[in-house]
Amino acid sequence: MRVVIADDAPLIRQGIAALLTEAGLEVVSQVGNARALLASVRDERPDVALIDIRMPPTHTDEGLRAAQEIRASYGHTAVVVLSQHLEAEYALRLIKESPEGVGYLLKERVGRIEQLVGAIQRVAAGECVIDRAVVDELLANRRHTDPAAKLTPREREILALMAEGRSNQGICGALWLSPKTVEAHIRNVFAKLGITAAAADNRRVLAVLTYLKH
Amino acid sequence: MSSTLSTPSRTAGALRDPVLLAPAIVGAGLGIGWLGIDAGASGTRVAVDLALSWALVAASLVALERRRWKRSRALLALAAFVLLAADLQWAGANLLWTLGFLLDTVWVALLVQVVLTFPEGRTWSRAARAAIAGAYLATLGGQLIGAFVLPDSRDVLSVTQQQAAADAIDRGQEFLGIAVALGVLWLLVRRLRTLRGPARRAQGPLLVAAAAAAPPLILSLAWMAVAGQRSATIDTIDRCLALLIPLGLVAGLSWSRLRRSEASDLVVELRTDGATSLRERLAKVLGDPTVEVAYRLGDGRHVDAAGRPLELPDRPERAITLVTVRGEEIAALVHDPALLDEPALVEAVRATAGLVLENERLAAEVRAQLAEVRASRTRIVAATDAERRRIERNLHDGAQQRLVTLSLALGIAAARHGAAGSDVLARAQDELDAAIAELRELARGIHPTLLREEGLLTAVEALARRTPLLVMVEGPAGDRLPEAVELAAYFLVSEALTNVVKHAAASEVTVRLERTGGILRVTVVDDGVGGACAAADSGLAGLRDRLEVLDARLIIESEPGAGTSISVEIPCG
Repeated sequence: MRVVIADDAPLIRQGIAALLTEAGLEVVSQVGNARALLASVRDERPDVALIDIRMPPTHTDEGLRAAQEIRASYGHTAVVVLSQHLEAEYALRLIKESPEGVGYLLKERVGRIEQLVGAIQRVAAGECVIDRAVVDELLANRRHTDPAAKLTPREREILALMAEGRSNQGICGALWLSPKTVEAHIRNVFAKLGITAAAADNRRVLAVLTYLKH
Repeated sequence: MSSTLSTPSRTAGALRDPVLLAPAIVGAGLGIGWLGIDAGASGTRVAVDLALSWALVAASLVALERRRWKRSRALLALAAFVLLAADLQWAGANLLWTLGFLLDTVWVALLVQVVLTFPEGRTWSRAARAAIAGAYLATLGGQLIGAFVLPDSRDVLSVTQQQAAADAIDRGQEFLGIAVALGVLWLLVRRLRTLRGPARRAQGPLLVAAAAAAPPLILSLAWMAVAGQRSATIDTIDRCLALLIPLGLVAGLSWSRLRRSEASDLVVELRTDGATSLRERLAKVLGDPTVEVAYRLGDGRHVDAAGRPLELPDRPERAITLVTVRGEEIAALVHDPALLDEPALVEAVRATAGLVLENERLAAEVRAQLAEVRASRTRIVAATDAERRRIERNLHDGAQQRLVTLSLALGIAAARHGAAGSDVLARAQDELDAAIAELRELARGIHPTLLREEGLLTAVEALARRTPLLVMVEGPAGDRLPEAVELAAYFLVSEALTNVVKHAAASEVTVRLERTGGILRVTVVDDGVGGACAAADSGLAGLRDRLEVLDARLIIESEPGAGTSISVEIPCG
């Protein structure tokens, strides 16, 4: 698996590269800004670009915009954006065009090598990955008359996993449930929330996140 | 109380004025009159000449009160003298006759010069200078050339006697005279259209009189040119027309003086609190709509009545008159320099307006201080916002970045050491995640990045989501608003939602953002117990400075049992 890393802090860039190399991934390029990142993706055609959201010159959302451009122009390369923002708005901005091969992780996940590598592998396989903490924040204050409050604890768990971008199979694995049970739960969740079930797993993320955001 | 003139006395110079030769001219007039009657000249003509020359002298005497009109006055007196000198033709001696012949019509050129250099003796323009030169050429020049060919035995300058040439020169003088008169008329009309305020009042009548005299003069010249001869009757009529000029001068001065007497009513008018401002009342009394009042503050700066800073102009188009009370400058009147021609009027205004100006100055000073306090509060709020932003940024770029680096180091350590000590490392990693999460929460409270980057609606939606209640957010995405407006609206919603959670026992909250005209209205309504108020120690009170800086209006409706509605209207341009 060939990976490009974009982060304007050299120490973090090199640390991530060392970790990924040890985990058996091939880091083909390390860059410090969005322009160099796009050039590198064009030249190297990596499988995945791991991108910090804040990069020069404005240190706001350069990384996010570069990720969108990579997805639009270089379909082969999947992206994982590392962000310090918990707000789902940023994740939704990233996946709203197309959730395939796109990931949104909080920056501190770089210390969790298995989570980081897992996310990289999943987006490379075309999946969508949303950080658990972002989903939790969306779910945290659902109460009272909110339809989401009518969900059973198990259904809430399944909703969260769907929001993270898990496939049916992934949900089965995470909860030790049979595919049939999971499918039944998913149907219940959609019925209670009143959203139309999207066929593809990735499209489902978008529908669920959009629902939860409001 | 005493008001004093800021400029030195203006009467001393007038005593040395050449116009005091007037008695001599009156005497000369009497002498010439006797000469004329003795020589059998027409009585009407003698009377008209005396009337015109004395009227010119009288006008120049009346104009003594205008220091700046010195040169015009001298020219008027000179015209009177020249007019009489021309009548030396009635004297028996050939030399005097020739002198009279040469000066015959020169008084007209002098009057043209008076008019076109009125009131300060400076030529209006290059065209005016050409017209004056033309007038002298048509009069003095024409007579001089004519004197060489005139078939008259009294002419001592005569070289050859040719009637045809003399007639041709007469016609040339008349045509040139018509051209000059047309030019003068055009210049007068142009000048009259640009005159404003007090200058128009003082100078207008003379210019109008001159303009009125021009067409008949043109007609008379044209008649003579066509008829091919001069006429004593027409000469007399032209002199009568010339009487209009001294009359116009005196009329202008009287008109100005009439206005000046109104200044005494100023005391009453200025002290009554009418709907109009002091500036407007001063403008009316001075007849200068452009007048400005600059109040002097203790620190030497000048402000207008609203307390806004005002720079005293340093341009020739604006004149400044200082108003002092007990030797201390309290205000400056900035006005049309033409008002300097009416020092008595300005002085009257200064004397009567002193007390009122002093009161207004104190009011302006308070307003200026108020404006300063407002400006200072605006600066403080802006500085606070900038500081909050800086802290938020430092937390992200500094502390958080370091913690992430540390987390990375722990990750590398865990990967390298395998199972050994992984338990400790995992716990450290958990602690670190918690620390980063807390830091993130802290930074968000200090300055909302989402608001800055994504706008008000998105940020309010995120606020609503974090509130453990059902919060509905209604509002158009709309354009971005000024940062201070967005921050004020955001913090208001944040405080209001916090209060609802703490005190209202509500089940549902609605946050509404509306933008109508230049107003952003933010409303937070809950269905809780009501009875809320903006206590001094509540979070809403903490927003007071922020809201007042923006001229925002906060309305809290909270009947017990009927829920609470907090709304704010922020002007946002």
